[in-house]
Order: sequence, then structure tokens, then C-alpha cells
Amino acid sequence: MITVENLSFEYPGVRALDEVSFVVEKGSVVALVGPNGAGKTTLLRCLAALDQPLSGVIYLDGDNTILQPRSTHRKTGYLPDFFGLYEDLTVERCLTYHAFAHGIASENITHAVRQAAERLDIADRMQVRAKDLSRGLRQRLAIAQAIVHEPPLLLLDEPASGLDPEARHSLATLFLSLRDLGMTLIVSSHILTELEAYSTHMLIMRQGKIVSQDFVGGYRDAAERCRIQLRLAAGCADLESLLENMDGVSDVQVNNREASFSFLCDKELQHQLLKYLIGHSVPVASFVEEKRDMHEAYLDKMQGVSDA
Amino acid sequence: MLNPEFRRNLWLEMTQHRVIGMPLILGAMFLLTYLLNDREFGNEVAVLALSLCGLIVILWGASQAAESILSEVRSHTWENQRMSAMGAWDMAWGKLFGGTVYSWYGALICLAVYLISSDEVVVDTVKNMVLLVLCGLFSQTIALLISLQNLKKDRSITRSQATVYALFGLIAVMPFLQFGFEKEVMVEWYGFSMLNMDFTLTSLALFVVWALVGIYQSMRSELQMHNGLWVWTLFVIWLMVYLAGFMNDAEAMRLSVISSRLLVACLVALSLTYLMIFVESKDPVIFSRLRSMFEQGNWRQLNRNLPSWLTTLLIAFVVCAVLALTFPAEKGLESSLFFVAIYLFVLRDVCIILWINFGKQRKRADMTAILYLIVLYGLLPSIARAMDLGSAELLFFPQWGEDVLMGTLLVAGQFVLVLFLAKNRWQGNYGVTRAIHE
Repeated sequence: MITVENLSFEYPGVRALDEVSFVVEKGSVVALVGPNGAGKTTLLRCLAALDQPLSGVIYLDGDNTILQPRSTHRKTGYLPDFFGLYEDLTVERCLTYHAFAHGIASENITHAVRQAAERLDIADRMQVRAKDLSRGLRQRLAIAQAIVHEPPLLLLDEPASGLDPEARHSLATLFLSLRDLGMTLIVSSHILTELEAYSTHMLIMRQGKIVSQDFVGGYRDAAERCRIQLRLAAGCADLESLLENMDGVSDVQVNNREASFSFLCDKELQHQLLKYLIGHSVPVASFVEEKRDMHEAYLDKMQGVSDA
Repeated sequence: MLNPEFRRNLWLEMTQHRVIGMPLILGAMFLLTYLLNDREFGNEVAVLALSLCGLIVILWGASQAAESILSEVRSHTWENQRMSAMGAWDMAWGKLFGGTVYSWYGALICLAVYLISSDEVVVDTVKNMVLLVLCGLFSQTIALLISLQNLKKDRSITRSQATVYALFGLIAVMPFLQFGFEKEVMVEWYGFSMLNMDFTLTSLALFVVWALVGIYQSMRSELQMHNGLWVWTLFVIWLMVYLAGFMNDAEAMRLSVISSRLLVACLVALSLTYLMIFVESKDPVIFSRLRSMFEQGNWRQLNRNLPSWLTTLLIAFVVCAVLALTFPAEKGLESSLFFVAIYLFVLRDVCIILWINFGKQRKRADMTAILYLIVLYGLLPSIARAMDLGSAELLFFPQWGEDVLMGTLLVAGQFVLVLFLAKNRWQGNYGVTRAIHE
């Protein structure tokens, strides 16, 4: 869906993006995280073909966004961190304007407007003027405007800032439903717990560079390995040797009735391992992939970069 | 399908209250004039209608046209518009006519009253109306064009900017307003005599077309589309040809007609160089990008990204070179050096402007540059004169006569010095970038 190669962007005297390269698969939801000033907003603006980079290329569905910016604009929905609304227009007119402006045919406008309003749960406020909406509802209207033409790519810069927990939850639900519709989302945010609810990938930035691009959820290393956590119902003296004798198991740590070790992520192999342990009378109470939350993963990566 | 931008502006501008309010207020003013003039619906009402129309479309309309862009940036809705599927032309006319639709509504009422109340012959009445409509359009296009141009330099918009740009629009139409109504005067252009009003209307229409082209090009640029240099080059050549047409009395300057017209063309090219270097952004990153394109031999991209002032500087070079080659036949060899000196002064000034813009504090850099130029061309020569240092003037102006060689050498020295300073400052401050927060 998106391929970025050696992208650099400069503000006078400051390199905001430094040889950034990454790939985003279609249908993924990428959490773009990093400290303030890492270059997240600049990256999103370049992806949206709003700013011209100093060097490098971005391909969106095979189109070079620098040479074909209008094609990118048509395929992309963008919610900036400081968005604006037409304060004196009603919700319906705001959405109608955006639908027309994005080239939706006249006969489909009503449907597109209604659908966007329903997705964002603002259909009951169609005749309310934008300036009379609450902070959360304004945010929803802005997102509705960005998706009214159902773009294949949606870029959101801090979409949940200023929203209450309930609104954040509904935003997460919305993003999941947009992903199910086949949209690709890149969401920049500081609130990692919120991103975790819907992201498939995490792209960490620092000082204009990509620090890492990982899956979100199960902890996997480059060889598709994960960490398994084992809990026992009773003590087992030869657990450590049993594990170390098993092919694929490494980095075993046993502590009383608990153990953790590195193993392959393949579910069938995990099933075989569990069968082997039970077959050797290990009193297994639970056998789970160790999950690390995004926050933990993010801090680990950033710590790694700092140490380096 | 109605232009979405025009439709949105209709929603915002033509509210029921405003649609009713405009004719009521204008009607009350016409009624008062009618009553004060012995209940005569004649010349006084016509003059008021024409004046109100001018005020509404030229000043207020221009302010509205500028606001159609500035308000979008101020309220953070501009990026959404840039990402819409609307083309540059749709966006341009949607804003130009949508943003000003209410002022045109008022103007139409005034023009209708003028048409009814005017006691001039119908042809003159219609020409006056067309003149005002064109003046309104020109003022509005200029205000919108300046707004768009300014976005490339600075996106922090203040409320007073629209008024300032409207004043620029007013300044642009002043010559047409001043001469347009002098109906009996004849204008001589390339030897052809035309009625002043007819010539003004034709000229104004052409200027409006060029301003519209400028808006379209600027809008394309805002939508991240690339513009080549040919449109700007065509405009510069057109303006040179247009203004040179007024140079019909070369005898007074003891020059041939061709030479006098070339002089005008040179003046146009040099003036536009100064105008554009102040109008356009001198962001050091642009120079980094140009350098990178030049090093890669990417001429197509270089053509698309070259600033207009640089193009105009190249055109000015060609005109100065032609003058330097053709003038000696009429004015002697030293005239060649005179045009070389003029061009070197422009190069020196360009380097001064860039040197200031390459400083770490780039805010108000252009104002500082203007101040420097005022000191160089006004204050220092005056001090030299007051101190009876007549020969020092060679440092400040291109000189005609026997000192021309010395003057040319001196300005060449100044140019090399300022070029060196500007290059060093750019390399020192922006040539090697640092990562953010480092």
C-alpha cells in the first residue's frame, strides 16, 4: 500500500526526517509513536502529499506521491492535529460540502453523508451547527469529514486528544470497523494504551529516524519466535531439563512454579510442546504466549536506542 | 454540478438575513439622496450608485477575496481543501466568486440603480459599468493572488492582512480608475491612437486575465502541482511589450524608438525581479533542494522549482545584454559598461536580500533588506553629497560618462563580496543540517 524510501525533510537548518524508509501493508493499522519533535506530523504531511520532501520517494498504491500529488489527495483522508471546521455550517452541510469536494456524484451524496454521520455516531445532530458541538463531537465530525469519500488510506494525527474515555473507546471501535472495510490507517498518538486496542503495527520514530517497525501484540523476534509463559499446579523438579531437551526451546528461566522460555510462534509446534510436557507428567496449569503491551515495547525500543 | 466551493460560500454568505439586508440598506441610501435632491432620480443618485458600487467591489470585495484564503488558513480548514478532489481552477473561481458573492450582489443593485438614473448616453453608461466591474475583478484577483503568494512565505495569518491586501488591490486599479473616466483623451500605443476609455477597458480586461492565470498557477502550487516557468516568462514578456508601446516620443531622449522601448523592457524586467524576490519565499531549504536537483542534473525538476525572481533575473540579463550590444551605436562604447553596471547593481542587491534571509533570525528579513537598500540608495549617497564626496557616488549608482569603467569595477567588487558573504552564511547556517532536537 505505502512504500517510503530514503525520505528526508528539512525545515531551515533542521532535518525533521532523515532517510526514513518503511513499508505499510494494505489493511494494516499502524501506530506512529515517538517523543515530541520526532517527526511524526512531518511524516504524515509528506504521506498526505501536503509537503514536498527534500529527497526520497513515497509510493501510494504504486503512484509516486511527489509526482502525482492529486492522485494521493484523492486516495487519502487526513485529520491534522489542529483541525478546523466551518463553524457556521451545520453538521449535514459540513459533510455535504466535503462529499462534493471529494468528487462524490450528486446522486450518492445523501447516502455518503448519512453513512459517515452514522459511523461517527453524529447522525442525530445533523442540523446542529459545528460551533455548537462539544469537543468530542467536533472531533467526530472532523473524522467523518475525512472518511466521507471512503479513502483507501486514512492518516490521523492525534485523533483522540481531548476525548473522554468513552469517546476514545468508540474511536477504537470505529478504527477497527474502518480496517474491516479494507482501509489502511496510520495513527499518530501519545496514548499507547489507546493505540493498542486497534493497531496491528507500531512504527517508532525518534529524531527523524525510524527506530523500529513491529507487530503489535504477541512479542515476536525476527525469526518469528515468541516468549512462552508456563505456570504449574505443583512443583516439578526436572522441568528445566525437560524444556532444554526440547527442540526450538531456548533461554529457559524457571522460578518455583513458573517458567518462561523462547519458542517458535507456530501454533502446531506449541501444541506439540504442550503435549510433550503433559506426556512427561508436568502439572501444567497454563501455557500462554507472553504479551508485552505497547507501552512496554515502546520503552524497551527507546531504551535500546538511548543505550546505543 | 455546482462548484462545491462556490456552493459552500453561498451557504455562508447569502443567508436570508443578509440577502434582505443589503437592498434595504442600499435602498435607504438611494432614497435619502433622492429626497435631498428635490425628489429627483437623476445624476446625484447615479453618482452615488457608481461610487457605492466601486467601494463595494473594489475595496470590500477585494478584502473578501483575500479572506476566502486567509480565513481558511486561520481556521485550519485549508489543508482539508488542499486534499479535496477539486482542481486548481475550480478552487480558484469557487473562492474568487464565492468569497465575494455578497459584494457582487450589492454591486449589482448599485449598477441597476446607476443604469436607471444615469443621464449619460447609453454607450458611456455601459462602459462606466464595465469599467467598474473590471476594476472590481482586478482588485479582487490581485488581493487573492497576494494572499496565495504570501502563504508560501508565512502561514501565520492576522485579521488585518485582508485589509492590507485589499489596499494593494485598490492601488492596482487606481491608474485605470484615474484615466478610465477621461473619455475624450486619446491614447497612443505603438503609434495607434485609441479612445482612452476603450484602451483602458481592453488593458484592464487583459490584466484581469493575467491575474486569473496567476491565481490558477498559485493554486496549482498550493495543491502541490508543479508549474513550469513558461507562464511567468510569457507574462514578463507581455508586460515588457505592453509598456514599451507607450514609448512613442523617443526624440526627447535622443534615442531611436527601438532603443527607448528596450529601455522600458529592461526597466520592467528589473522591477519585476525586485518585486518577485520580495514576494517569494527565500526559504534556505528551497536552495538546498535546487542544489540537490542541479547536482543530480534533474533539469525538469529544476525548471519546476526555480523561483520566478531568478527567471526574471535571467530575462533581465538578456535585455541588458541586448542593450549593451545595441546602445554603443547611438551613445558610444561607455554605454555598454553602463548596462553591465546596472545589472551588477541588481545582482548585488539580490545577494544582499539573500544574505539577510539566510540569517538565523529570518523573521522580518525582507523589511530589513528594504531598509538596507534604502540606506544604500538614499542615505549614504546623500551623506557623500553633503560631504562633497561626489566621486563616492560611483559606489551607490550606475554612472553614465567617463567614470563608467571605475563604477563598473566598484560594483563588481561589491557584488563579489556580498555573494561570498551570502554563500558563506547559507553554508554556515543551512548548508549542513542537524537532526531535530540535537
